[in-house]
Amino acid sequence: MWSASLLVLLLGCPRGGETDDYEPFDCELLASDGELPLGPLEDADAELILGFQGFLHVPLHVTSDDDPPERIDVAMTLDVDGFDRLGGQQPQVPFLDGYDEPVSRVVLFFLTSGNVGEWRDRDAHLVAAAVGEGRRCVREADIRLVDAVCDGEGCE
Amino acid sequence: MTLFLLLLACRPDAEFRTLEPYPNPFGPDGDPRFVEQPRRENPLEIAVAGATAFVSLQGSPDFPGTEVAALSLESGDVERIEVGSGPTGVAVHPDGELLLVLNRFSNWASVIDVESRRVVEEIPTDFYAIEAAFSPDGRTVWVTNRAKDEVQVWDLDPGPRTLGVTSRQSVPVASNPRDVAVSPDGRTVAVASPTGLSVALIDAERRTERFRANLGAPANGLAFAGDDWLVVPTLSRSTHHLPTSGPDGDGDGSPGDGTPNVNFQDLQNEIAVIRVADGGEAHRYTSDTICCKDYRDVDPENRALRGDLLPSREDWIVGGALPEQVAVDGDEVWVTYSASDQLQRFAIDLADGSLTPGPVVETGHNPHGVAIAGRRVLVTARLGETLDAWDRDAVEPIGSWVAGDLAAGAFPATDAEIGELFNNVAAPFTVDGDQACTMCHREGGNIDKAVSMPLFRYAAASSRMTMAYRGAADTRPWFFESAMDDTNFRPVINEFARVENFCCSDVTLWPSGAPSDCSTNPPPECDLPNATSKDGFMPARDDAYFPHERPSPHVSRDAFFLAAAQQVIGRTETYGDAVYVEDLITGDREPIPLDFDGITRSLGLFLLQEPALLPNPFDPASAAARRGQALFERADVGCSTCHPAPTFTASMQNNPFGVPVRMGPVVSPARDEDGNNVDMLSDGFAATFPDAEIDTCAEVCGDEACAEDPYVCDDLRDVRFGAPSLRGIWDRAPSMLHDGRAKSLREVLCTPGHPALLPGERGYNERDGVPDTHGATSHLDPDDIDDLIAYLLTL
Repeated sequence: MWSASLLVLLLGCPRGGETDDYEPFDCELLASDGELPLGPLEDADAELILGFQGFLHVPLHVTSDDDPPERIDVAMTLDVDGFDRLGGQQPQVPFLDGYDEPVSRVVLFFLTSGNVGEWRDRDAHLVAAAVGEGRRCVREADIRLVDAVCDGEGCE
Repeated sequence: MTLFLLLLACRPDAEFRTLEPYPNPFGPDGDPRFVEQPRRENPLEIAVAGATAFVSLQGSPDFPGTEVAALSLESGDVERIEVGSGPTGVAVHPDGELLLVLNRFSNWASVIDVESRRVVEEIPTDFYAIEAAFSPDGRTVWVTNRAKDEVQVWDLDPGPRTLGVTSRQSVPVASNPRDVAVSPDGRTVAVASPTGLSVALIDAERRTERFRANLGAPANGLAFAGDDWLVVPTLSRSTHHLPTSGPDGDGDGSPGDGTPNVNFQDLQNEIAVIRVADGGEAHRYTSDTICCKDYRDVDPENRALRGDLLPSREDWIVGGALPEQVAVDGDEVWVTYSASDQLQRFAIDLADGSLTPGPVVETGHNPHGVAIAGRRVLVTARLGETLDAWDRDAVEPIGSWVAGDLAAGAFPATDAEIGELFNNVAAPFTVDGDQACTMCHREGGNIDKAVSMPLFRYAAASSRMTMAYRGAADTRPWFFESAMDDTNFRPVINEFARVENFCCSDVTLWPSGAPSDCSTNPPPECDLPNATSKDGFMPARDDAYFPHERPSPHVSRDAFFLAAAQQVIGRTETYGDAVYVEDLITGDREPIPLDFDGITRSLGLFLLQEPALLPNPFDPASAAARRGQALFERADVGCSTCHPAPTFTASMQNNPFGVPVRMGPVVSPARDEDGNNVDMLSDGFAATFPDAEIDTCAEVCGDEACAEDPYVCDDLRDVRFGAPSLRGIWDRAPSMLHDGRAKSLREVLCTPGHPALLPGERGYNERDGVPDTHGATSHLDPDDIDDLIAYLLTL
């Protein structure tokens, strides 16, 4: 199950309407502090986190009030002016209890290129597709990449 | 007697058979990344008879070859000769008339008449006969067997078209023996075990082992230099180093067997010269590059930083990565470096065995076999598909022939092949130019060694057993922690070229991030030596400043990778056939740069594309195996719950009983002297890899206690482990469980004090004194344990 759905998604959906293979479901993207959801991601600040071994990543969550799949495979692209389009994916992300609506465990988009100084305070366009149990949701968000540690004062 | 012979001849198992590859679950049905791959032949070993070079075309475990190439060194003509499946070792009888070919997946060896180039005899063997060496008088041949961990000696009575095998005898050696050589005087036989990390020196007359040279690292190949010296391409020994806790993997009296510096950066390429007289090491030469900032706790110039543990500088003469095979003629020594596409000539002093380095030259991709033919040196490029020749004196290329198959184009021709190339020839992508995946994952398997890794909370005090990566497609997620798969195993590749080596991503230089234009307009700081790394293994060093020259002129890792890709692959982006970025709205796809991400994803694709599981030679229909299977599947034993067929692991792809893919440890956690659970993962690792589950302090001991000291309950906290696949366990290194504490399947299965344990063995089926926590076996009798083992070996 994983390989089929993940791979379709990350490499991604087939061309020319083959996404009809999926039933749609509604979802939204949430910003994250790396652990907990913060609010809608659209037009929001997305935190750049310097993680294990220096890997920069942007955390986010997927939420849905549309009886979402138990687990989702998430594929993402990030477009930032002046950079090649980046792709990312995270398979088998579960939805968690404890929220008014189902909220996924944190999804991490890794920026394996560049350094925090290059990405900081840039506008970006993120597209995320969540697939599970034959259903698919695609959402886009304009975001601003902000440094989770440095507020911009004297960061350089 | 006649009747007995007749019965033997008619036994079904006396028939010639060929093992079939495991089915590949990564296929065109439902997996859009699957792309049919070009046919490749993977030329491997060379044997020279007169003006003809015979090259075994081994193929891969999934697509075995079935031919030997005969190349005329005079005309360049190439002829193919059909043999068994997976031809591997080739050896010419001393009379020069017959060539012995060992077919690893067939239970027979082929004998080829050198002149007519026809198969004239087929000799029954066990499966996995690998390499052969004739005695100088031609009356015996020594044959290694990978599956049986032994070398066989066949007595010969050669005739016109037959080797005339008259009898056979076996000598046990360390695991997965490969290369074998007989000394010029015929008195000593040497057998190299890449997985078993040792060389066996055998008395050829008595047919008993005289010495076992423990290299502490894979014995990749070997060749005698005169009768007194044995030259062995190997890797770093890595004893007496971190980790400071854990099993004593090599019996040297020190815990653990990490690399000197814990991380991959420390892996060294070495050549050992062994005294034939007593099996002792006369010399040990190491890589000519030892660098740099990643050398966290070992500084070659500083005894306080364990510099005294390194070989002296005059021994830094090994000029390539992964010394693979060696050929010796007189005082000339030639070594192939399979992970850096290189070949080096040395001179050996036959009086004291010392080596003097000579030139290093570039080869085709993934050089393996090396042989001397007159004034030529011949080398196979296993991935490049060629046989190449150099002039011995000038060390210049003088010829190249296509021995394998380049009909689909030069290698690599697909994204999966890019991943395969990186897997085998990673060294140019590493900051000191000398590490590769295949150093520890020899032929996709695992060496018998636990290695400290950077993911631990107690970084210098724990280790994980090296894991085989075969059969990766349907056993995701990977690693003991089950935290990674083909989409996110970048931390592994990171260790080859850590970000702090590159100015613009050096967080110790730029704690708040480098200038935004650092990559295009490097600031003056990038011209200065880098500072000591502050992450990693602080317990092992102090806060003093130890600057090192930056190992690369590139200020970013991506620039470094792109330059390496251009150098090695000849391109800087993927082909886009299976590794691409896709517009999630329109479905449009674009190749991606072969930077860190592109290379990592290509490697991940290769691991799915090539299961590389060696076909199993053990008989699943044997009475013992069938009894063992019944036990394995019995509810009161419980093996199959977490290790369900057909993958024999509970994975995302196969979990019929719905058990957690990650679970708390089923054997005692490794603990240090203070009782701390040293299996624990670092907070940073756990945060960056959300699938790596770990008990929180508060969950175990409550908020109040943990507020004061977040590590107060580390002895009670647990990480979660996945269930490693048992498929292919017959071919793995003997050490097992997450830190390699068990030295055999019997030790894994048995509870402490179990009557099935042999003298000196210890049962590890317990957790903190409670038996039967890793399946229930205490109620089984020794015959049951034997049956279980018999079954496990058939998986």
